Amino acid sequence: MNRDRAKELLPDWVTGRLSDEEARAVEARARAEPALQVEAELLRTLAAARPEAPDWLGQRVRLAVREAVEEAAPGRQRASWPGVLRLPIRTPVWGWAAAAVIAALALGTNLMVDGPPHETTDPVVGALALERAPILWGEDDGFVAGAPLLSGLSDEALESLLRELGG
Amino acid sequence: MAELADRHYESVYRVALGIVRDADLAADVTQDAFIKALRGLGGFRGDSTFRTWLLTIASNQGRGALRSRGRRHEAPLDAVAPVAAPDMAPDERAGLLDAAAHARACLARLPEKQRMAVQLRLDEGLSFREIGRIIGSSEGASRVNYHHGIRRLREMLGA
Repeated sequence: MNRDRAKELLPDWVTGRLSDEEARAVEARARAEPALQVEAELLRTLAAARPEAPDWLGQRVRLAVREAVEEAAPGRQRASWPGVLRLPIRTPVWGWAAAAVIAALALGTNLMVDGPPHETTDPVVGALALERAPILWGEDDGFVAGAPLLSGLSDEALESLLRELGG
Repeated sequence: MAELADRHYESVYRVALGIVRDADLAADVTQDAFIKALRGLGGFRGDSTFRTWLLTIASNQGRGALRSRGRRHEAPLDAVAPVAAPDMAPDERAGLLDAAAHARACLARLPEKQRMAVQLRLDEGLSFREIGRIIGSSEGASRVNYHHGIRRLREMLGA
């Protein structure tokens, strides 16, 4: 092995990345060249203080990656129940719509907003329902409250939602 | 992607740290680099290894983070590795004066391309071609940067 090649491989030698055969060749060359020995010692000293990532960083990166994958997935709306819980923050349209459905179910109100605003007796329900009225209710789906909204959920998410609602 | 994160996050962190020279910011940059890689996975053409591609993203993210935070590359030495601290206990000070830490502190004082060339060659075992991709130089220029960096370190350390 010539001097230039040995010099180039010094970082790999001091960090143990070479095969046994290459390591022996570099070592033999370094033993014969004081300048290479000095450089190898410098590299060995530097390598001893290689910065290490904090222990928690791996977990943090994994979580961030997982969250990004979930957000990017086409079936984002079919998230499990904890995902649904986050929806009001991340997707306001779903949040408002889900709030309207839950409020309607909880109050046992047959919520139909085909009429003018003054027909809604409860001001809270009225405000929620009116805001999303065109999205919320299809022509024939009103008899099952929230049916249009829930159609995008997976069976698992739907079952979870129904369980939460006591259905 | 989680497996790739497990495999490469330490290298990404070191590259980020080499650029920004701030541990907290380097952790942020590491996370951002993975997210950016994930979103831009379609742009990975396979003309370099995934690792080199990822480290290039980390390097660019680090520079972007420095720009957005208005920081300069010439961070003070004590922001990287406090070599001398007269008000510390002798044993504590002796620890800080460890030869390896001192050498790293000197490395941190090199110009960015020299510093990154030495760091990427030594810590990550990258070829000069790969280093050139990451620091935005040719293979030959990254080799020159490495050798200049080593020579400067030897001068600084009296080796």
